[in-house]
Amino acid sequence: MRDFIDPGVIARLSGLAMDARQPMIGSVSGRHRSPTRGSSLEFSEYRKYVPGDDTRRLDWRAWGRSDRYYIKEYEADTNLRMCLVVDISGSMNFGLDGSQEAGKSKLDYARRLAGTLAYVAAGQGDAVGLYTAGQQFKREIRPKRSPAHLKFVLDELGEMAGDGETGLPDALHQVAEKVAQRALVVIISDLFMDPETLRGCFQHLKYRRHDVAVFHLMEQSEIDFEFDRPVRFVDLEGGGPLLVDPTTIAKQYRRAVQEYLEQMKNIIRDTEVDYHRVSIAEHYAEPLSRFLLARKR
Amino acid sequence: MIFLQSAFLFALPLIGLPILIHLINQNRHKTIPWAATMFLLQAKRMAKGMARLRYILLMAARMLAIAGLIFAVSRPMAGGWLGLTSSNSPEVTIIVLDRSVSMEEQQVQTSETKRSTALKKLAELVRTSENSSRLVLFDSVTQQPLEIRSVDELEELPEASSSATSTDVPALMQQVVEYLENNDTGRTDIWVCSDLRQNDWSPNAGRWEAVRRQLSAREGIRMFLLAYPDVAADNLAVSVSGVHRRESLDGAELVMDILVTRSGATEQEQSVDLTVVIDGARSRLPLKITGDRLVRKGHVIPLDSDTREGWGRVELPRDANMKDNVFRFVYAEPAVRKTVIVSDDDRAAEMFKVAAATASDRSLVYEAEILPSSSASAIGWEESAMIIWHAPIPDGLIARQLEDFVASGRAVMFYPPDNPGDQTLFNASWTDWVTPESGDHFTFKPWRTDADLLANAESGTPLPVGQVQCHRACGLDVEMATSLWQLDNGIPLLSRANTDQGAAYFCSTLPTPANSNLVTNGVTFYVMTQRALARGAGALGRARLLEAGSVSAETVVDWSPLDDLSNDVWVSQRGNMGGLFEGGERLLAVNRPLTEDSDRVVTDDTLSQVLAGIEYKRIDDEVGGAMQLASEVWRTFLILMIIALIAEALLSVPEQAVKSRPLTEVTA
Repeated sequence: MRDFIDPGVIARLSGLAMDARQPMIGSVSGRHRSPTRGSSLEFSEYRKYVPGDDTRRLDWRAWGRSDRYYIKEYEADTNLRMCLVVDISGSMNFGLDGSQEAGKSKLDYARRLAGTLAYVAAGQGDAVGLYTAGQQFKREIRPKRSPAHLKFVLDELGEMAGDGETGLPDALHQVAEKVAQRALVVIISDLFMDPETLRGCFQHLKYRRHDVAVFHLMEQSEIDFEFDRPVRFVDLEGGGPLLVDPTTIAKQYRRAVQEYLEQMKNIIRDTEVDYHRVSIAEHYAEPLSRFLLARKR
Repeated sequence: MIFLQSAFLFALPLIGLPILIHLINQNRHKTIPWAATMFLLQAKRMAKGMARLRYILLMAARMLAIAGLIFAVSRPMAGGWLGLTSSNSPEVTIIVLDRSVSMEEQQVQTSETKRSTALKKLAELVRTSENSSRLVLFDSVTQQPLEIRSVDELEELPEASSSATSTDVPALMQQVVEYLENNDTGRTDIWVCSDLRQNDWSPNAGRWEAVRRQLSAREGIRMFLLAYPDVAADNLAVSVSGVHRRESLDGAELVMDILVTRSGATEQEQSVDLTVVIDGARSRLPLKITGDRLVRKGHVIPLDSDTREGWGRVELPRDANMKDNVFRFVYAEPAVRKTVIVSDDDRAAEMFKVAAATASDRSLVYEAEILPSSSASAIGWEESAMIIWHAPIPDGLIARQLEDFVASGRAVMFYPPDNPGDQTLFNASWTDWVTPESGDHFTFKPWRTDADLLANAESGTPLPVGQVQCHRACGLDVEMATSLWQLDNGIPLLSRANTDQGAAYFCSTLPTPANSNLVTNGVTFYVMTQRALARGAGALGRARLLEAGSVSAETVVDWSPLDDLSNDVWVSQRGNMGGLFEGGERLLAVNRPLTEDSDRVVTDDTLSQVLAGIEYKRIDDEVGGAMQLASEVWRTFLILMIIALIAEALLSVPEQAVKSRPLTEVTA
């Protein structure tokens, strides 16, 4: 068990299965609905017998009543591919109250979220993949369902470090293209980019019939912007430092944040993405619980 | 602006303190790694203009607050204008005071006059500015510098009191310039207090040129013109002329012409209740005035047949100027109006004789006698009222006798002979005859219509001076003279030399046809001759009319007052104040110069020309005006400081704390 995975949280979440919000096409049988017919216990529909059909699936009771041959079809249950897309740009190093201490940054929070989700998914037999998006598309681990693969994913999560500008939009477009079959794409990022760029990414993913979930990580001070003396802000993504008197721009800053959040809200509504804005001040188990509960069938 | 505690002004560099603190603060910033730089950049973009403006306003408010504090503790003095803007106290403060009659226009409620208002404000200025400079008064009557020990004396000095005189401002300014030249005055403030009356300022006087040249060349001189140019509306002034006694069927009667003038351009009819006092007996004379003047010619007052001489006054009711409400006169047996013409040109002499001997008042006796220049010693000096001198200017004994003749109050008219000579008398000498450069006659500048020989008639109608054609004129080199009529080329055509008593006129052309059409256009020639004669005749006989300011202080000592009003006048002021006196076997009536009844004020353009080249500040005030020349204005700066502090506080108020919004949001 890695140090960013808390057994207590795993235990707390054990009662909550992770379900896809739409039918998935898996390689093996699982707990998720499939768009194809299968052998689960859940009845789907009758259809007329055609030569070649397995006679074991004939509904003899229907023959008795109607003197016609009907095949009884059931829903297929399959497994799920979960692709974790984690933003590892420099801005993810921003932590609680601006701290960059180990364990307090957004990246650490993302690590915990992603690791726990991977653990839960693997636990229910789903395939887990990991894509880390830094300045470029840094790492790509395709979804697989073996325990060894989970270990590989967790190792990668443990090793990732934030640096440079974000390349999340490119990464999302690449995920949309590379993951051929339907998958649950979980994005964990601070989303500090043009919202309209994100709209394109979400639409691309939805077009490829992926189930998209977003954990938008923010820190309270980034919203409130409460400073009373001149501050030299050093851009964590490598931009030049900015010396400003916060008292002179606080109002405009807050307005910019609110406009951004409002824009995000519209994009989420339009693209029907499963969106979770998360304060990194709260325990990561809380957003995970909300996420899983919202998906419960 | 003057600062009583100017040492505090050394703290002015502290105004830069807010900027310094701001710069230090900027360098003491915290460094914070920041993720949401995109919002920061957006906010900076949005706040660029406003933030800069707010910053500038904040700095300005802080600097203003410090400046306000420093200025307040420096105890600034300021006037109601921006002229007094130097912190240097002058070493000498010269007050040039116009004490003319027109300066006695008063505010009816408070009885404050223009003169007293000016004195009061200047005294306040010196007092409140704690000015340690020497204070020198030049008043228009004495025209002599008077050093004042304490400013408290200023308003009480006889030299600053009212008078019945007119002011010769250019002469007064010349005295000031001379004083500046002769005394090492250093930094000097000159305060000229005047009502800018045209007759006092004589804008065309050549003496201004010297004043301008010398004042503009001097350094360290600051001139302030404390002006009272407003003319009181409906102020009435009265004067009397042609007073003489004549026999009548019932005994005797006193005949006089009464002139009432009104200031302000109004046509409204106004009732005037005139009082005439003859030898103490009062009578009322109701009149109605429409327009700016009323002439009552030949007003007759019956006298006892045995009353041969006496005195009288005409009085107006109280109005804006009390000093022009009384006119005094004396009467006695009129003297023969005798003119002696000294000329070697028979034709010209005959013309002079006709003009001088033709009676303008049939109740008087006119005589004229022609003498060749070689017989000038035969002039009957005692019985002559006027001498027309058409011969080379004399020297020696005759010259002294002519000076004495004028000094005794009588008149001389000089006309240029064919060979003028180079003698000088009354600071004047003839030069050469000249003819017009083009055309057959000269063109003239406007002549003086308010006073003297070419003044308008009592009805206000101007003399037909413009119809005179001058074909030939003799140049006149003259100093200290009043120009009454001038050619366009600058040659004075008719001038009056400045004399204490009497009059010495210089006419630069002759009445003969070769020289001018003075005879064919006879009105001007006749009137000017008769007026000069009347002036000279005033000094003959027992009754004499004198202008205040024209009598020397020594003469008045032996005078005794004729009426109660004159009894109140100080002996030293008799020559400058109006009054009725008996002295030297004569009856004397001293009145204001009638030029003071003119309400014409020097225009701004004319004043600019008169004082061209001199740096001066003009301060227009009004009688009893509340404007202070200087007052402590530290309160203003304190209020400024408070306003700046409030503005600073408002600009510094932080944005209302934003209630933290719950960050968490789920949209599934």
